[in-house]
Amino acid sequence: MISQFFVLSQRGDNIVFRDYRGEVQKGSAEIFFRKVKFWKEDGEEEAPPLSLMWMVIARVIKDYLGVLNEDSLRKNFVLVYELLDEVIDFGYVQTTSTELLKSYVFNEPLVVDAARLQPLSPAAIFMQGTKRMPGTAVTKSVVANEPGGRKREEIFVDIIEKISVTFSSSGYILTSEIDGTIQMKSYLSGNPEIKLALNEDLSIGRGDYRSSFGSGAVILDDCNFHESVRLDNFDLDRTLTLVPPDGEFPVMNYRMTQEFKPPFRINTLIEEAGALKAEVILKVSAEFPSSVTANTIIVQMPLPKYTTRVNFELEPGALGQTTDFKEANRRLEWALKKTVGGSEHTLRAKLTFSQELHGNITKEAGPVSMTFTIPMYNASRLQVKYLQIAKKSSTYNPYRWVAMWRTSTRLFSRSFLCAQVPFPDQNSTIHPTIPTFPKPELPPDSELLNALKSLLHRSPSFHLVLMSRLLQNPEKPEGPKQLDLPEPALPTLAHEHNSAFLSPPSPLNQSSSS
Amino acid sequence: MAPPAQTNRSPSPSQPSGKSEVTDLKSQLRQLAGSRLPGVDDSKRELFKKVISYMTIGIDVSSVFGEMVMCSATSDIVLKKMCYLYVGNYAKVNPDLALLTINFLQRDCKDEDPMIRGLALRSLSSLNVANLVEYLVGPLNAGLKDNNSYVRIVAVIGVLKLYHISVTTCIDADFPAVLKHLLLNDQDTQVVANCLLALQEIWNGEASTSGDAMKEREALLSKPFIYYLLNRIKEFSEWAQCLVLDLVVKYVPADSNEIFDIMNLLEDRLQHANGAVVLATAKVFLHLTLSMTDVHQQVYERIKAPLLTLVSSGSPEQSYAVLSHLHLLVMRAPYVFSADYKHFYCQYNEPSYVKKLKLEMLTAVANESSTYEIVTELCEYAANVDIPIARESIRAVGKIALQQYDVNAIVDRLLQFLEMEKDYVTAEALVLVKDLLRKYPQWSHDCIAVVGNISSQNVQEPKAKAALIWMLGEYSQDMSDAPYILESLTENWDEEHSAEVRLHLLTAVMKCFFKRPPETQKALGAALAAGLADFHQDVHDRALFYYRLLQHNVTVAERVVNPPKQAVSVFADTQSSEVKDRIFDEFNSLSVVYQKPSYMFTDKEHRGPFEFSDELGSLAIGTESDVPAHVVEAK
Repeated sequence: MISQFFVLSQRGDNIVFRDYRGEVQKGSAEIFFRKVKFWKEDGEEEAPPLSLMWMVIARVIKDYLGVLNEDSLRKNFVLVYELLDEVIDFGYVQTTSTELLKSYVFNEPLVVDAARLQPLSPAAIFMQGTKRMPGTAVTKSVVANEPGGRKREEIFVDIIEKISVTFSSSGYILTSEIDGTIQMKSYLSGNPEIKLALNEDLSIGRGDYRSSFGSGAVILDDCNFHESVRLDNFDLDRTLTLVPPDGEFPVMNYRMTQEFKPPFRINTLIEEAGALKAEVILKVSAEFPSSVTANTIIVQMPLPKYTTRVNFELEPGALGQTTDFKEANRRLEWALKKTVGGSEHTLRAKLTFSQELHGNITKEAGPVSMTFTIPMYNASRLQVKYLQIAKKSSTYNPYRWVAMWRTSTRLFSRSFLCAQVPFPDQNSTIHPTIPTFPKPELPPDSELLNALKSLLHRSPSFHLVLMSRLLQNPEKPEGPKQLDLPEPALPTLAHEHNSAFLSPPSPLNQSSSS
Repeated sequence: MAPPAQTNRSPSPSQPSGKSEVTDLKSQLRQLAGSRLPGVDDSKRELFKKVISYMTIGIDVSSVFGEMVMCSATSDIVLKKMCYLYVGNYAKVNPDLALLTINFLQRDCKDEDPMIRGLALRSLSSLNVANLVEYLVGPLNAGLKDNNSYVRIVAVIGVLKLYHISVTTCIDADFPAVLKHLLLNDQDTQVVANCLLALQEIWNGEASTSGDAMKEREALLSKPFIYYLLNRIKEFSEWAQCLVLDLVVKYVPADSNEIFDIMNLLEDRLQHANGAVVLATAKVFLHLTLSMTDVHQQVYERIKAPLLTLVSSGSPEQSYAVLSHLHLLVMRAPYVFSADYKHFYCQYNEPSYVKKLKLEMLTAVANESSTYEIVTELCEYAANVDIPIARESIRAVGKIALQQYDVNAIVDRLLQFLEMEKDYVTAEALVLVKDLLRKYPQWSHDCIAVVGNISSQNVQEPKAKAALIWMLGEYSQDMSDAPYILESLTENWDEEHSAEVRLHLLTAVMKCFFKRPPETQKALGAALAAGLADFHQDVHDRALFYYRLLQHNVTVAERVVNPPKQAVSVFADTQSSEVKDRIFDEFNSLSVVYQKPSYMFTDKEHRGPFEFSDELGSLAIGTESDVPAHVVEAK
C-alpha cells in the first residue's frame, strides 16, 4: 500500500506530491529528505534505496515524457499527477501498463530535450522547451505524434549486455558474468503480434553445460520474460510471441556465466623506481574482430594517496586519447575515443610521491577498471535471428502489404564491458568488477549537433538519435525495399559475428499469424 | 502557448508564501469564471496549473476554492482533472466549500462518458468529509452497477474510501455484500482484484466486533475461492497477481498433493520479469513447504536462479530489495548457496549498502571447499580504498575464522592485516584476534608474537585499544614488556576518553598483577588510584570493587578476576532466532530490507529515539512496494 508519493528535487522541495490515504502526518517529505541527505554523519555511506514502486512509476512517466529528468518533470507535473491518479488509487496500484493508461490520460506531454533537435530557425529558439514534437526514437513519448499527425510505425529492439570480468594478474579469468536484456520499445499502431526468434541452440539452465561447452551453443543460467511474452513455441524453435504493449519494456532478462571470450585484455605493470617514484604501464589489447569498433573506452586506476604528480607518456602517434590525473580522488584516467578490433594501446605513467614508499605499492594502488561500449557486438552470442510483424488483418488485401512493409524495424545490439585487472601481485588475484550502463539520456544539444555532423564515432545512444533522424528523411523509397534500410542506417555494420538481421516476413507467415 | 510560468521560477518551500500571487490568481480566475470567449479554456489551464504548482510546493491556495469551483463548469477533461485534484486536496479543510462541489460532481457522475463518470466518482469519494457521505452512497451504488468496468473499478475503491470516512454508512448501505457479489461474478479482473483488497480491509476492520465479518474473512481463504483465483491468475494484472499470491500464502492446503498442485500451477510465475510477482511467488512456495523439510530445500534451489537474475537485471532499487531477500535466504540456509559464492563477490563500484549485504552472505556461505577462495577475495577488499568496506571485510574474515573452517590459513591472513600498517586495518584486526583467541586459545603463541610488536600509540580506536589491553592482561606471562606497556597506559589515564578502555585497563592491570606481581605493583597502585578518582561511575565502582577484593584476600581476588577460562564455543548471536523467524514470516515486505520485523519499526514503543521519525508510524506494511517516498536524482 502506498500512502504518499512524492518526488523531491536535490534541494528537497516537492516537484510532485500526492497523498493517497491522508494518514501520514505532515512533513513526511521533509523528514525523508533529511534522512537521505544526512544518512551517515561522516558521509561515507550512501542511503540504501528503498522503493521498487518508484522505478515502475518512473518507467511509466518516462514512456509519457520521453525524457525523465527534473526539467521534464517540472514542465509536465500536471500530466504526472494525472498518471499518478490512474496508477494508484487509495494506495493500491491499479495499473502500470502504459498501454492501458493511454486511454485515461489526456494531458499532452511537453517534450523537453527533443525540441532542441529541430533545425534552429529563429522561431525555434522562442519555441524551445514548450513545443510539442516527437523527438528522437528512444526519447520519444508514446503519445506524441508526428508533426503531420501521422504516427511513425517503428519498433526498436536492443540487446544490451553488461559484462563483468575479473582477471587475475596472470591474465586468467577468475569470474565472468553476462547480464543481458532484450529491450523493446514499440511505436506500432494496432498492436500487431510480433514473433522474435532467438538462437536455435539456446538452452537454459546450467545442468549439462560442461558437456555442451565448445559446441558453440548459448547457455543461459536463467532468464525471465515480460508478461506479454507467450512461450508456446519456445521449447520447439526458440521463438517468442508477443503483442508488444506501447512503451519501453524488457522482453527478456537473462544471466549467463558460461565462459566467453572477453573483448579486452588489460596488462598492468608497476615498478618502483627509487624511493619517491614509480612507473605504471597499462596495456589494453582489443581481442574482438577488426570489423568492430569499441567506443568511449575509459581506463581508471586509483593511485597511492601520496601521489603528487603524474607524467603520462602515450605511444607515439596516438590519436583521440586523453589522460588525466584526478587529484581530488587520486585517480588515473585514460580515455580512448575508439579502438578497432585487434589493436593494442599502451600508456606509461610516471608517478611522483610526496613521501617515501613503505610497504607494498600494489596494496596502495589499483585495481584497474575499464568501461566501454561496443556497438554491434555481444559477447554472449545471443541473437535475435529475425523479427516478424503480423498485422492482424486478412492477407488477401494487397494494401495491407504496403502497410506492413512500411513498418520500419530496427535491431540493435551493443555491449558494455567492464573489467578490472589487479596488479601483478601474487597474492592479489580476485578483483571486483564494474558494470556501468550509460544513462540513456540525451547529451546537451551542442553535443548532439556535433554528433549529427560527425555521425559515427559515438556511443550507442547517439546512434539511436541518428537513426531516427534518418528515419524521418522523406526521400526514402517506400515499399518492400525499406526493410533493407537498417543496414545503411547503422554506422557500424552488422557482420557475421553479430548477425542481427531482418528477414521480411513471407506471405505464408503472414497468413498463419493473422 | 505561453511557456509555463513555473519554468522560470525556482520554487522552494523556503520562499515567502506568495500571498500576493495567490490574490492575483484569485482575481484572474474570477474574471475567467463567467467568460465564454474562445480560448478561455487555454488560459484557465495555465491558471489551474499555477494553482496546482503552488499547492505542490506547499503554498496554501485554499483561498481560491470558490473561484476554482466556479471555473470548473467546462467540458475540457484536462481542466476537470486539475480541478478534481485541487478539490480533493482542500475539501477536508474546507468542508463548507466542499459542499459547493457536490453538485457538479454528482452531475458528472451521470455523464455519458464513462471516463467522466469514473473521474467524478473518484473525486467525490476522495472528498473525505464526513458530513457529505450521504451524497456519496447513491453515486457509488450506481457506479458499482455501471456497464463500464472503469467506473466499477473506481466505485469499488470508492466503497473502501467511504468505509474509512464512515464505517456505519458503508455497512448500512450493505456495500460489502455488493462487493462480494462482484468479487465472484465480475468479468473484469481489476474489479475483482479491487473487491478483494477492499473486502480484506473492511473485514479485517470489522472482524474484531462482528462474527459475521470474521466468517467472511475466513471464507476468503476457503478452498473453492482460492482455487477460483488461482485458476484465473494469468488474467490478472501483475500487481493484482501479487495481491492474489499474498492471499494464497495464508491458505492452508489440506494435504501435500494440494501443495504440489498449487506449486506446479504457479511455477511459471517465477519467470516473470516483475520482481514483485517473483518474490510473492517465492513467498508462497516457501510458506507452503515449511513443514516439508526436503521439499522446502528444493524450493530454495528452485527460487535461487530467478532471484539471482532479478538482482543482476533491472534498477539498483530492485537489486537491493531482492538482494536483501536473498540475504535472508542465505542466512537461513547457507548450504544451499555454498556453490554460488561467486555471485556474492563485491563489485568495485557497487554502493556500500550492497557490498555490506554481500559480505555477510559470503561469510555465511563459506564452507570447507570455498573458505580459501572467499578469504582471499575478502583480503582484497581489506586493501580497498573504501574504508568502511575494508573494515567490514576484515570482520568477515574473522567471522569465517570463528566458524572454524580451516583456521590455520585464516589466522595467517589476520596476522598479515596487523602488519599492513593502516590504522583502521590494525584496529579491526586486533578486535578479531581477541575474539579468535577467546575461541582458539591454542593460537596464542603465534598471535601474541605479532600483537607484541604493535605499539599501543598507533592504536587509537576504543574497541581496538580495549582488545589490545585485554590481550596484554590475558597473556602478560608471554609478553615480556606487558607490565610496562600497561604502566605507561595507566600514566596516561586522564587522556583516555573511552570508559570502555579504562575498564579494560583496570582489569588487565589486575590480571597482570597476579601473574607478575613485582613488576606490576606500581602500575596497579596507580590504576586503582586513578580509577577511584574517575568520574565515570562504572570505572569508579570497578576500581573500588577490586580494591576491596584485594584488601580482603588476594587469592580470592585472583579467583574472581582471573579464573581459568574455557574457550568460547559459540558467540551469542546478535539477533534471536525468534526475531529471524518473524522476518521470514514477513518475507516480501520491508521487514526484510530493514532486517527487523515490522513491529519494531511500526509500533512506537519499539522504535528508538533516533531510529525513525514519526513518518513511518502510520504506515501499513504489505508488499515491498510500500514506500511512500522517492527521490529523483536530477542531474
